Amino acid sequence: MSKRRLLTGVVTTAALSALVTGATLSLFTDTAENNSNTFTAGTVDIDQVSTFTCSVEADNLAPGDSGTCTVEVTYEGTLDAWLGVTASTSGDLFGGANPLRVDLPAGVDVDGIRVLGQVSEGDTVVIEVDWEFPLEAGNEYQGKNGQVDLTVYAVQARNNTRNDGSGPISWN
Amino acid sequence: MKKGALLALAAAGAAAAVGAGATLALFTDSKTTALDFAASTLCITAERDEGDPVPGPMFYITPEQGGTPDGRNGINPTGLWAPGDKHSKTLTVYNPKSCSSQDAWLTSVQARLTEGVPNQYEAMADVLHVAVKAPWHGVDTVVGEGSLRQFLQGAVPIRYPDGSKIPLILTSNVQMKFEVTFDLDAGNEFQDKTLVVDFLVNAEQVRNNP
Repeated sequence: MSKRRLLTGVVTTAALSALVTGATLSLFTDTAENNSNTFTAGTVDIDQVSTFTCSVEADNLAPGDSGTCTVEVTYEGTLDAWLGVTASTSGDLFGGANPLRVDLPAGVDVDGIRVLGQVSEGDTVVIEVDWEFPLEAGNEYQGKNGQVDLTVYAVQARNNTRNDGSGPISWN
Repeated sequence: MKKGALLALAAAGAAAAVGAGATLALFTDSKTTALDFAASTLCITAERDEGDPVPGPMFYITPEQGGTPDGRNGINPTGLWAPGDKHSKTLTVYNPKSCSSQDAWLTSVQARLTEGVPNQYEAMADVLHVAVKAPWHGVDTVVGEGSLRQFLQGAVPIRYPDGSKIPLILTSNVQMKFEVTFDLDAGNEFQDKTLVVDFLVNAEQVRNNP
């Protein structure tokens, strides 16, 4: 056996030995880093809805009375938002042939919610609710009561605005 | 007889010298040639781009948050994120001769939670989608993508659409894009929550590694 063949034999044996013992191949590697990438979600937050303030006392109505009541809404979210409102009524004053009528501010309805407009952090919006107790209302309404529940909604404006800018695509 | 006696004496002397261990001095010469081995180095670096001062994070909410260690504010803040938001940032990855000596493959990208940040909201990783892009035939092309959660769980391989690896030739750079989208279906539970991560780009040698 020549010296060269002997060396080849030794190398082959070493390689086989490495394979049998499960040795792994290694490569030069490195890693580059970009640190402290921050993702913070903003907020949509109606801070406060005030109680109603009315131009005419609403607790002693007579047929023919009408007036305007207002509430103030303060928005404290960090994201711009669409504000909307619904009103629901209950009580005998809202039943019968000549019920008390309540009108929300004029505007576009999206999914049954009246759009009030866009707000930013710190904005205060005044919602005016007009009401009228028809002159035609008869004695059947005497001593009756009624209640209006106003619900104010806010939803992010970014990525959620109709193409014509009239309101949100969705409220949720 | 006198000459024969001298030869006999010389032979005896030489034999005596060998017997006593004396060395023979001969004219000799030798040369040594050194064969030096030096392993190469693979070293890549990365910096954000788009005019932002460096170093600093790609994604940050306020200019101050994106500032450099020496106090220069970032100029491309994302602002607070809303569901549906998408922001793309550039990370230029270099293979500089100052510390590297060979070509590299860019093989994978991963993420890890930044250390020392309190109140990490890890669930946010499920609603942030990351698309990593690299130039391919002149167009920024997605080479790897997944939820941020997947990037946090381990290295996400990056490859061109035809399956080939992304080369980073010595002294050159690759402008990678990180496009992050906040899931439009993310609910109110994510409001005002924060997640801070490091992005890592991994490379391997090209030679002997097709």
